Amino acid sequence: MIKVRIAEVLAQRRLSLIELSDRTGISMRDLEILRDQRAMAVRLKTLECLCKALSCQPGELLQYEAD
Amino acid sequence: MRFLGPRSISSLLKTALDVVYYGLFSLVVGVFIAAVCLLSVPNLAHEVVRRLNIAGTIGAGEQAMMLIAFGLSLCGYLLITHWTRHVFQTLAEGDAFHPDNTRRLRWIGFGLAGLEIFGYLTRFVAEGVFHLRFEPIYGLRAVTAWFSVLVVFVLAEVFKEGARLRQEADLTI
Repeated sequence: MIKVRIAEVLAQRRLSLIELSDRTGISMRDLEILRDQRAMAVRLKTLECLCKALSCQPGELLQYEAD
Repeated sequence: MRFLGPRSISSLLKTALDVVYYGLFSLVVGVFIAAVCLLSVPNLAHEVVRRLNIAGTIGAGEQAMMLIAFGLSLCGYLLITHWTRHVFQTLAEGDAFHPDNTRRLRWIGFGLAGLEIFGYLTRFVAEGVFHLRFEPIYGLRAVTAWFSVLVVFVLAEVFKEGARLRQEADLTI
């Protein structure tokens, strides 16, 4: 499965989900879905917003894990 | 006029189905009371036969059985109306691909199929036991009910696919 490492990246940057929501304009509900690994798909636009807000590469946010 | 959402054709149909549902409910209660009356009130069965001008005699127990069979088929229609009301309620709320609608539509399909089979059985029993004769059902009329059952099952699958797509859309960030 593809794991979204949003919680880890936020911890590294000492940011909260609320601050990320403010920076990206992505709703808290959607960010929680991403954090809880419940998302089925991520738009490139969303990934771009997250990378911009967190100053990171997409590879830092996504990680493949064998089931 | 809109087809989905509040104050739409769906909500109008939901109201109409509510009226039909409560009407059917009263009819079911009436039929079962009539069956009990036939069994408990003396000479009532004889009076029914005389009023209906039926050749031959049908006893109180047989009449009550027929009424109970009719009441049971009405119960089937009542259940189908109940599930249809719930489907239309979600449509009236503008939530067409509600996940529960697939289950409800499947039950409507099973209900319609069950009613059709129950109809065949009661005809068979009435003809064999009570020597009653019914007009035979043939041609398009015989298959219409089964076609509607199949259509409902296909619709259930369409709603299942719709619910899946909606969930996918909800979980796409």
